[in-house]
Parts: sequence; structure tokens; C-alpha cells
Amino acid sequence: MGLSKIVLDVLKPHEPSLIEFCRELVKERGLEKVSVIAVEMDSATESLKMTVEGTDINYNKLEEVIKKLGAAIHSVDEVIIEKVSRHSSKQATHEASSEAHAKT
Amino acid sequence: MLMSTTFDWLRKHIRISGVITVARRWFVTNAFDGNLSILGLILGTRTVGIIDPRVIVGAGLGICLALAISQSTGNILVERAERLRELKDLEDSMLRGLDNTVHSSTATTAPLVAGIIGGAAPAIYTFLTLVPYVIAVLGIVDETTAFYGSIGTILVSIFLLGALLGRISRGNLLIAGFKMMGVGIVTALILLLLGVFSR
Repeated sequence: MGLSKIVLDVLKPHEPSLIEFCRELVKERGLEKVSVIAVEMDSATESLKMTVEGTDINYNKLEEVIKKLGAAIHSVDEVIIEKVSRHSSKQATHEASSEAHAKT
Repeated sequence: MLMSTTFDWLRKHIRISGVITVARRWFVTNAFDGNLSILGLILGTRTVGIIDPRVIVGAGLGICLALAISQSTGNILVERAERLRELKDLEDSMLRGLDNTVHSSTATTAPLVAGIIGGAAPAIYTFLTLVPYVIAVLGIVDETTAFYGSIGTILVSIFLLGALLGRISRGNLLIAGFKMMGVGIVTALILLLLGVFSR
């Protein structure tokens, strides 16, 4: 069972840029995709709608990285937590080993 | 691996802080100051009859060292004050403290970068104009050759500073270079005239 998607309302300074901000976030383990929309802007800051997707996202670590980049999480707007069932995980493991066997 | 990580970290901080824009202005200003100081030294000593290359190199080194210390420390202190003010303003906008963030660390790294590029680097650049005299001290050329060689080096050096300004402003490099060199030539003429009148 893990956090696979989270949508956040984030306030950040203009620097680092949006591109650099997302690049730093997506480096974290468990994060596969970060998408951001700038909702509002003033002379010093910008408000973002940020969607983070991945596998078993560590929210505490994500929050830590966002803070280190000088940004602040204002709210958590959407959360998706997925339950990985035993059957689907066994099937995934079986499919992976069959593929590996076929290659050899 | 460590070198590339450190280099990436430094590049990120320089990019986020935007310190290069400020530092390159200080480099040009301070290097121009240094070059004209050496020009004044060479022409002034020649006017009063001091032609020993060791005196020129010694005095010139003293000028370069003093410039390096004063310009570096000045740049660091000024830039640090500006960055701390910007950090406080940003904290007010963000409604949170920015300790242990990339912004607080750039408030430390940016002044150091400004000190090196805007302070120490111009002093080294200025010292290059003394190389003909260093060669004269080694006995490879005579004092007169060193004198003209140094003047020529200073004028080329000033031209290059002007060309750098031209590049920064995206204007004509040659025109910008010659403009700056023109200031150097006028300075040299004024110093020579003063020397003639003082005899």
C-alpha cells in the first residue's frame, strides 16, 4: 500500500525556476513524475498546483525537499493511495521472471 | 565524482543567486582601476627619473595586493549585506523562515563568488601588465623595452575590458574596446603633461 499520487498547493520564490524545481524533486526515490502549473504570481513569489506521481511516495521526504528549495506547502488537495494486492504482486513477479528466462 | 558534485552544487548556487551579473560588473570596474593605477605608477616614476624595474615590480605588486584585499573584502561585505536584505524580504513574502534552504546558502556563496571574481581576479589581471618589467628584472630585456611593453600591455588589457563590456551590452566589441582604450590614452597624456609641467 503506498502513496502513488498527491496534488499540492505550493508557494515558492521565483528562484529556483519551475524547471529546476521539478528536476530537483523528481530526483527523489519513488517519484516518477512531477507536473506543475503556476496559478498565481507576484513580484517575489508564485503559487503552484503541483502533481507528484510515483510508487510509494515518501511524503515527509517530499516535504523536506520542497522546504529545502525555499518553497512552502500550503495545502494537500488530492491524494491517491494504491493497495498492491498479493495476487497482482505475485503475477508481476512471475511475469518478470518469465521475461528474464526468455531473454537467456 | 566529488569534484563534479561540488561543481554542480556551485553552478546551481551561482545560477539561483544570479551573482555573475553583479560580479562581472565589478570585475571590469576593478580591473580598469587596477590597470590605470599601474599606468600611473609607470608614467609617474618615469617622469621623476625612477627607472629601476625592481622598484616598479615591487610597487606594482604592492598595488595589486592592496587592490585584491580591499576589493575582495569590499565586494564580500557589500554583497553579503544585499543578500541578507533580499533574504529577509523573501521571508516576509513567503511568511516563513528560509534557514537551511538553498536561499540561505546562496546568501553565503554569492558574496564569496563576488569577492573572487570581482576582487581577486582583477588584481591578477592587473598584475599581467607588469610582466614586461618582471622580464626586465630577469635581465631578458632592458628597462625601455619593459616600459613600452607595459604601456602596450595596459592599453590592450583596457581594450579587452571594453570589448567585454561590449559583449555584455551586446554591442560592437571593437567600438566598446576602443572607447575604453581611449580613456586609458587620455589618462596617459594627462600624466605625461603633469610630468612635463612638474619639471
